[in-house]
Amino acid sequence: MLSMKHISKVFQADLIETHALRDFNLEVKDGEFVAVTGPSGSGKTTFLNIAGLLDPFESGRYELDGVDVSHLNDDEASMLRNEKIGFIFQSFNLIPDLNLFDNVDVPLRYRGFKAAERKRRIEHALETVGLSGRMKHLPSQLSGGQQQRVAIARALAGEPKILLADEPTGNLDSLMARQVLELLESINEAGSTIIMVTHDVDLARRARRNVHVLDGSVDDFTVYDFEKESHGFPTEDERTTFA
Amino acid sequence: MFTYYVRLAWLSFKKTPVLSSLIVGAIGIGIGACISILTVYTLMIQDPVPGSSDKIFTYKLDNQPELEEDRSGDSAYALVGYRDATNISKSNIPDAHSLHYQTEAVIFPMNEGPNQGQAPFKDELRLASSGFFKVHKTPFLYGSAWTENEEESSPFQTVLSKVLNEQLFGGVNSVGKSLKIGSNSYKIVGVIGEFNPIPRYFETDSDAFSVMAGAVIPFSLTEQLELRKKGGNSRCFEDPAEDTFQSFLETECNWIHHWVAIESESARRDFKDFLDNYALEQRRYGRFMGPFTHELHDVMSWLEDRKVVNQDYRLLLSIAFLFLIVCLLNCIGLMLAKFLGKSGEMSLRRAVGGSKKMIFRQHIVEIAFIGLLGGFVGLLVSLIGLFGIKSLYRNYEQLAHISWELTLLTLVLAVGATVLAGLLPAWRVCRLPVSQYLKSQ
Repeated sequence: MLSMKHISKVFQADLIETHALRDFNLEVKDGEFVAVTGPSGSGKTTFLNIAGLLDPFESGRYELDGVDVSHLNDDEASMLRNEKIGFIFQSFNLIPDLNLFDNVDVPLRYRGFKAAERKRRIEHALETVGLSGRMKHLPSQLSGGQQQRVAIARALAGEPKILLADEPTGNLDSLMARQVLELLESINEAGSTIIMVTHDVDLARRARRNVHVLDGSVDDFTVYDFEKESHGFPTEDERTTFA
Repeated sequence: MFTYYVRLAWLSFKKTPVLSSLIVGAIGIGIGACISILTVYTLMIQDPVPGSSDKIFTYKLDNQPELEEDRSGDSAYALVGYRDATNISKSNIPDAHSLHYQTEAVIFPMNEGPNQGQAPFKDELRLASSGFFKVHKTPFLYGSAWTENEEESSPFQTVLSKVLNEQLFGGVNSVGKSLKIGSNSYKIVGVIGEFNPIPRYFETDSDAFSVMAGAVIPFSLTEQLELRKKGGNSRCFEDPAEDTFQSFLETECNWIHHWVAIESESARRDFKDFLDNYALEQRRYGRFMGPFTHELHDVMSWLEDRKVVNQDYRLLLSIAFLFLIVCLLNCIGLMLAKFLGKSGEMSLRRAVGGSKKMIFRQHIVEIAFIGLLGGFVGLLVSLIGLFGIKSLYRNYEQLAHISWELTLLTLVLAVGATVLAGLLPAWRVCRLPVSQYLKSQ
């Protein structure tokens, strides 16, 4: 699904160069649920932005669903983003002037779907997240958890191959965070690939694979054998760490 | 997607109503100022007789006595003396001759119908040859003009302007009725319809933009009634030899408008040759001794020659357009502020698949929407501006109205100018670093 080899990303500010990613390598298979962890400034978000085709990179090779993204122009990258990727952000990023229906509609407009098809997808997406009865509500009329669920619906409406979630529960209380995570798990079980960036170690353990990023590179990754899982969080016996 | 973009434009307008209204207001004021001046200017420079302006001519002769040290300015030759006008009008090269001049007279309303109780009043009086109506193609509401023969045989006929006919008879058909003008009674033979060429090219020495009013009587009555020009410009190079009207008619005094209708180019050349030969012939009598080259002008070159469109108006028009540019430059800043305030939303749209082109198009539609609103405000400002012009300058009443063509131009100009000004802000917002604004929202 996603293959990054020797990716490097440098931010230039006046005379100061910041190597956000150095020789970054990661492979994510179809249907995986990967959590990306690491301290602040380690390069997690930079990785996610590059994965989501939001930022370019200096060197390396990145293939998304078999497509080499190195030479894509803006139109091609936008179309690939629209068709293959769904974004979930920490701050939800809903458009406040649009109701839920219109918020979920945004990526579908750019895909060029007819009105009937868009309506079907939007209703299905909102039903998946349990908000089909609030289509005409504005985001300001919802709780944080509900807003995040709308953002998930927006990400799902285009039936993307991969969901990129940047701290999806960062602005939520523990109850709402659990609800959102359970939703993500159900989406993953339905077959979607999910890459989730998070600071929360406990949250990360809910993902089948944890990738730890340090100083712009993959430090180690841990795979959880969920068949041995008892109550949601795997035990030490159920972990295998790779350096 | 277009209707989607229009809806987004409306939502964006409602979201920042003050900022959006400022932009609309700036565009409206700039457009309004431009269109007000442009309206008046366009009507000033338009062809007053479209389709005929290159077939109607007047001429300039230099009849100033050579011995005059102080040669008069060019305006001295804009009119013709009685002697020359009547001589040259004998040429059968033009299809028709129009001799006329303005004066004024007291009109005595008939004491009947709408005129009951109406006191006598002064009004414009034109003395014109029968060719006046043919050369200038005056439309008739009722009746017609006198013929050339009637001008000699029964000259006490009159043609009323539409304005005067409405004033005296309520606009009904007054042909056949009598009207006392000055000391004489005239039979009304015709009423002119809508005849207000703008500018009034055949009388550039007086107000070229006011409505033609009053009555017209035959030119041949000049000698009998001893009438002469009042108002406008006239120039006399010498005093009459005797204190008689006949003597006055023979002096070098220029006060008559002479226009001719000539269809073909060859006839035009022939008439120019005729004028040159006439001037040469008059030299034998000691006239036309000056160095001036006699000129033949069609309508548009005459208006140019007479400088009917004041240079000040051209300057005013330039200033109005500069003012519009300043308003648009201000709008660029306001639009940048408005669009950059939506950085988060635009970044989100880019993230979910909106390409730079799509975001650019969305903003161009929003800019055009704002421009259209500005156009409507501009129309309102134009109307106020033109109302002000009418109030200050009564003579410009004819000029101060907006045609549907100018209305369309206003809206097109508003949208076009705003889109042009909005290119930079729209381009700028497309190039926002997406990831930066997504994280920080």
